[in-house]
Amino acid sequence: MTESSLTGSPRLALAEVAERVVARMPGVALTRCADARCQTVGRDRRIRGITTVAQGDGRYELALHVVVAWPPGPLTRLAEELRRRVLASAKRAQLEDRLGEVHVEIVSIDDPEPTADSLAPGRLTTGGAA
Amino acid sequence: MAETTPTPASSTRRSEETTGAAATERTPGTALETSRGSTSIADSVVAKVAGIAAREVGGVHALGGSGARAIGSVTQRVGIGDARSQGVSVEVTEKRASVELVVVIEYGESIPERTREIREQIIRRVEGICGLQVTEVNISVADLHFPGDDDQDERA
Repeated sequence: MTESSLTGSPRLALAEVAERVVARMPGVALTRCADARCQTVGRDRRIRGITTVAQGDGRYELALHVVVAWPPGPLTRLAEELRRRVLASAKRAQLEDRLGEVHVEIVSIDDPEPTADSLAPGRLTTGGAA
Repeated sequence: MAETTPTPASSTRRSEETTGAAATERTPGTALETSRGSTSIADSVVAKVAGIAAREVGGVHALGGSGARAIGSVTQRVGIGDARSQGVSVEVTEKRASVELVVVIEYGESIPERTREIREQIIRRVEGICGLQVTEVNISVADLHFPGDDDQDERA
């Protein structure tokens, strides 16, 4: 996966990289937040649960708004692992130079009695998150 | 029928002794700063962890007093409430959290034993999952649940 295989702008490409990382990580899902403050919107794509903001030095700061499954394990370790995977994926996509800080916001936690509206469908599995 | 059982000093000391490594930098809103970005944990997450932890203890029938449960059943139906943090309030400061909990215990259970287990479970979960030092867990036993109570409620 190179930068050219991803959607046009580096901002959207980074959001897509992060989206794929979260999708592959067990026990974590992006929020389905409809608020503009937790979305990345491009010309023909809208990625919910990720904000991408230019830092001013050519790089983009990402914020991942995530829901985690119960039992989640240590949340700080989970966030660190997400950050590490985003960085690794950005490197593979040759976007490392465009990636700024990666913030992880754990906005909710899910347990064996899930509330369907808090989760992206089919994305959350319990266990093994950390 | 409310019996408040404040956190014994031993529990607080235990949490301080065991969380040195886990409790890294955290301030409300901007927690756990690292060179590659920050991690923030919403207070509602801490409350939910505490609520789920309490419900993992046997003999706990429900969380919240009767009023909170009645309001909770309505808010949950319209999708704005969550039973998992009902009856739980948390105060999170830098690196630390205190928890207030209202519970309904099954009739016949030992209240001191159950509240001790609840307290230990909440401390274990919140410290382990959120990396916060739990300074106190105050538990208020708001009611007892008798076998057959639910049948009566349904008939009513």
